[in-house]
Amino acid sequence: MAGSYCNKDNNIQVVEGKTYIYEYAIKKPGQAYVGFITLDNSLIVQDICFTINFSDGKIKDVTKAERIKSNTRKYSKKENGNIYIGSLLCYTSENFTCRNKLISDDIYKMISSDFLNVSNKERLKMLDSFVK
Amino acid sequence: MTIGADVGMWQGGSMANGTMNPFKWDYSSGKTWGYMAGGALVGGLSGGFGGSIASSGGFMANTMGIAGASYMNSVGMSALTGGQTDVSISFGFASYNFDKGEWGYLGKKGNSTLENIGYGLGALSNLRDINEIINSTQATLYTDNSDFISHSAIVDKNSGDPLMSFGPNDLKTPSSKLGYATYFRKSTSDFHYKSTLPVDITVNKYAIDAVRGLGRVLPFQGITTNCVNMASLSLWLNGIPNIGLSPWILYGTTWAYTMGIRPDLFSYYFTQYGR
Repeated sequence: MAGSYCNKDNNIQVVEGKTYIYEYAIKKPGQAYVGFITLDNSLIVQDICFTINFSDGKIKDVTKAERIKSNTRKYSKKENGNIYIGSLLCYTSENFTCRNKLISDDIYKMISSDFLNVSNKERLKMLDSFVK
Repeated sequence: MTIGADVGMWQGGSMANGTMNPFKWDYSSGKTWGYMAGGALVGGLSGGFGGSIASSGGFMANTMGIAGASYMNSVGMSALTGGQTDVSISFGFASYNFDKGEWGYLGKKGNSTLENIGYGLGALSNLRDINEIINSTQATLYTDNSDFISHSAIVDKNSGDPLMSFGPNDLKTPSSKLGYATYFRKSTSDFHYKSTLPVDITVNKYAIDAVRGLGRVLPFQGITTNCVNMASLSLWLNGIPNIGLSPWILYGTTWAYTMGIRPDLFSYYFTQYGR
């Protein structure tokens, strides 16, 4: 199961490297997926995906799953600094605010009013603080 | 083997009484019980034989399994009934009747519906074998176990990348289950998946790519073109019969397939006795 995700309960270990953020469109009512990829020495060293459950304008709970490392995962870099992993577009801290939106800003503002103004590493920590 | 014995018992009872309906059988007759016992023995042995060949994973293993089981079954039943039934061999999409010197195949003029279903199921086994020769990829079917809506995804076992994980890809936000079910939305075949309820399978990436091509032009809609339909179609094209009505049912039927509960391996019952 080289590439599968496993549920994590402990606090996140933020690793060295550049962190990118990705999002998926909302499929189920009240549930959003947001993830973070960290690259170090051109290798994907961390991939953490958060499941955010919300209702009535408030976050209900957040869970996270970390993808087990696999050396077979490849990515491609765009001129603006974003990266693609397959068809998944991962944004730099700065580019995230002008992303092709799949999740509305309102949901990020439920996490923190500053969520869109901070770095990806700080966004990761903000989301991690919701995980019980 | 158990399934073969059960079907064989029913087959024997049908031959003794001339009807497939077990409620019309004469249970006071020794012939009924004798044929049922003999049928169970023949069906169990031939089913077990075919299943062991199919699970060996050798060259054209599924087709060989059907051929071995169907031949053994027809010889056994012919012996049991004193030559009243024909000896034949099935190759999946086609069969050969030794007594009549006649080929049967999918869509042949005069076939009954049951015969065509049997040949169709057999053809899935042929397809499965061809897929394994051309481009075999180890994959896992994952089913989200967190709620009723769930999600089905076929994922590359080595890289963890989605092969078919159909989902929405736009900003529309459903506020209710009705919205989820009815909104037409842009789609992606690389939607997020949860690594729960894994079922290991072997797939052909060409067959998956065909469905991904379809995914590029189809919208996502919760009730129609959704994750389970696209995963189900991918599995059918890989020769894995399944029921793609919900992720949970897809999980159950695919799991059953990998456990050897495979209607395709017993397709010859339909072609031998479906006339």
